Amino acid sequence: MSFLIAQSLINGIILGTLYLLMAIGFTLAFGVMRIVNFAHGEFYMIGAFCALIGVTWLGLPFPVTLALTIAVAILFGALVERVVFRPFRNDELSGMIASLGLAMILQHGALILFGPDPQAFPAIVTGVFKWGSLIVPKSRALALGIGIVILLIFYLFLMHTRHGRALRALVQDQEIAAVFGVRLEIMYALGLGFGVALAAVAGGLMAPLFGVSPFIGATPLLKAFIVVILGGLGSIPGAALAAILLGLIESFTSSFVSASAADIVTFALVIVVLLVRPAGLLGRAET
Amino acid sequence: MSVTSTSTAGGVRPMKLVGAILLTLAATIPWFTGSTFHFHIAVMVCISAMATSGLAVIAWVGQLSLAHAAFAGIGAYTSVLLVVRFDLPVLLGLPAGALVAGAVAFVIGSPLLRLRGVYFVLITFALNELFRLIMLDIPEYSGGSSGIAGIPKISLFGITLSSYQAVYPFALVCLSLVIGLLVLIRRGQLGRRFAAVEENLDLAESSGIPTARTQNIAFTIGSAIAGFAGAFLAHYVGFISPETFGFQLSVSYVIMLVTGGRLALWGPLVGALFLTPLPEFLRGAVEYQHIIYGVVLIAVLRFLPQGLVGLPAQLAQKGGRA
Amino acid sequence: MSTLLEISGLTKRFGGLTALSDVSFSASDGAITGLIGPNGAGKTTCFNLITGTLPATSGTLQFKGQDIGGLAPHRIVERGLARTFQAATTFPAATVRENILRGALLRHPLGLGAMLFGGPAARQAEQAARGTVEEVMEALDLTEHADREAGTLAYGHQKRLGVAIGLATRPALLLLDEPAAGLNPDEVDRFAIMLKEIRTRFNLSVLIVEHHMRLIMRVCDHIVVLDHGEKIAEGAPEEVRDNPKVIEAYLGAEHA
Repeated sequence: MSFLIAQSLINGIILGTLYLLMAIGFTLAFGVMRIVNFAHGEFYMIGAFCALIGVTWLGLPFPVTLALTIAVAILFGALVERVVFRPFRNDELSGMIASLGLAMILQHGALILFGPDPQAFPAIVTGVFKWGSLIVPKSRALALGIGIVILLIFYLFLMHTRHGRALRALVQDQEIAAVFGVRLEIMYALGLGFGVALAAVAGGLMAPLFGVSPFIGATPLLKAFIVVILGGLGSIPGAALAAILLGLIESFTSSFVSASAADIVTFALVIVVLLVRPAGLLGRAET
Repeated sequence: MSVTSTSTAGGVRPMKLVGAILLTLAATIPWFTGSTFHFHIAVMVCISAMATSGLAVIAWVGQLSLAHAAFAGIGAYTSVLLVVRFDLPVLLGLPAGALVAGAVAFVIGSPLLRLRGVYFVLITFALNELFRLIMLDIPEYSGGSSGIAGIPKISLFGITLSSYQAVYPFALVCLSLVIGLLVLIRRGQLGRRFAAVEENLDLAESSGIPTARTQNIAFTIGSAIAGFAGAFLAHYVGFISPETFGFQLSVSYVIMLVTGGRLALWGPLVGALFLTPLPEFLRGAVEYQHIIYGVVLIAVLRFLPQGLVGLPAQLAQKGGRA
Repeated sequence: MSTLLEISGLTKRFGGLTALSDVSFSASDGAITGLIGPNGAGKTTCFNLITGTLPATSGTLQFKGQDIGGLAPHRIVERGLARTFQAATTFPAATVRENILRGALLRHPLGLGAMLFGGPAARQAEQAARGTVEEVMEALDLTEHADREAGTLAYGHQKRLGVAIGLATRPALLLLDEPAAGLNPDEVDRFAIMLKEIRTRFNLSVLIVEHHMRLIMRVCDHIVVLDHGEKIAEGAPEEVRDNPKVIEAYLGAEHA
């Protein structure tokens, strides 16, 4: 029993890290640009395909592939911001509807390029770590490790660089940020670019574990959505807490109860939180 | 004077006439070509236009619902279960579907509608997902992921409408009734209240309009229409599953509404007419169809904020200015 | 003069912050009462509590001798207490006439059936309401703009239309939220004259929240001064003007 708990704990943390990578970009897009980005899951999908192309077609080492994926994703995010979202900067609802269109374009674009069938991803590492009866596949440990490193780097960027501080200022208050000389043109592109990059990295990291197909973006989007609502739209600390919490809940319920029951409960929770505390579990109620 | 005509320019009247003639002609196309395939598309246009009309009623009070497919699903399952298990005639199943969908909307509407803008969109998105998950979890009613097949066709007084040609006139009648209802709403005091709530909610409340109740009326009517359209779809296609009424269907209703015109009376019909035939004519290249959907949606949002219906007025304005 | 609106012990706390603390005053029938104070004094909060936009933490609100605390805003309007807004004062996509009609229809209620299907009752109601609309438009000098879309009007006209919509609900007491904000001195003077006119013509009492001292001093019969969420003075315009506490509150705010 105790080993099952430990196992669930580790799986939960792995899931939570993935969810957090997804959720940060989603919540950043809302915090910075007030856009609810329904295309966010497709960035995960694109990241997974980037990794697949890098590793299998170009034969690049996995770390190089991930670095390239990040670079491509930032550029792509900036482009998307410029072409799709910028015209709707003052219109939350239209921006959100536009993201629905963008999601369709990206998903079906991938379908045309790669076909509908799931593609296998060659294992990056094989074998397992064993501590007593506790088993962690090395591939999962690797994904977790890289994920945490990337989250840490992003955290340092947010807290200790000029652009990071500017991003946080934007999330807090657009007008004040503008007064203090934050250049919105650059920051919007940067904000979406980083969000897209984190989603893409999540896709690249998870590709070896879950495989790649044009349709893999839907679930991570749902998870990001849940995490961001529970944590409070626009709140990064809230997202961090909610992501780990959701990972653990899912991991434990699927070990001990049933997965579908867990899904229903989390969505019911999302609805209750939206109704009672639209600012999220941690957030202050809006006045 | 109706609410709609107050805001449009005087020169648009002949355009409305042209529009009416074009719509009538479009409706008769299948009889000219005689193609079964065209009849099928025409019926699908009617169903989509009905569902999207329901979404439009909700949009008229300033809310965008992403749970519209779920309400279509509630209507569909209600009608199918009543017809299959209790031998109710389909003709009664359809309104029953509308009734149950409307009732559900009415009950959950008042807490839900306290949220506005993107928050309402988010909660309805979550609701649609919850509906799908719950339905998948009760396969004894929903058929689970394999769905329910062999659903009885629509029959009128003992005559089964088994062919596409036979269903089409009935679909046209139903669509006319739905659009008639929309016209009534638009012309009457209710439409005036809807418009007031949509344009300035706080001011509407301070003018003595019970805005919460008004929004709930719109949500109930709109969702009931979705229930009716969903029930129609179920009996027409003959197969439903929880996945039929997933997020994608809600999104396609939103796309049709936005493309046609979010606040216009004829927006839903124009949107459905423009977008429904697309997949049917692009068979074998379904991927391109969705990409076209996406591009059209973004382009309309960007360049035609009033949708395709607003295009003539927008052109006239441009011409007048030049 | 009898009391129309009686506010006693009104308090509003947001979390740990007290925006309004134990405020009591009243607005008399037929009078123009002013509610003033420096920025952050709690004027807007007080306004929102009276109109039912925010629930009060404690205290009572009595209008025409009846408790109106906890009523929804549209119910309060129904009782005869209408308000205007500082900004976004109109229904932008509708004509001026339609804007005012939406307010006027309050006094001609219909059942859901008549609202949906029309019929003689609905026609009659609209006819009667249109009478009110013409009267209000004329009183506020908006008749020449009757068929223009509200969103295309000049700012000053939009603010006047806001007053017209409130007036069309036939209130006993009209609450004006900074009606002079954003108007030029000429427009403010015209507004002062118009306000006195409509008071007589529509047998109206007015509660006015305003920064603009000249307007307040000119039109008000009675003034209540708030500072930091508390009432610091009350009285006739000249009394209030010479009150050292009031002077200090305003100067203090300006020097801060």
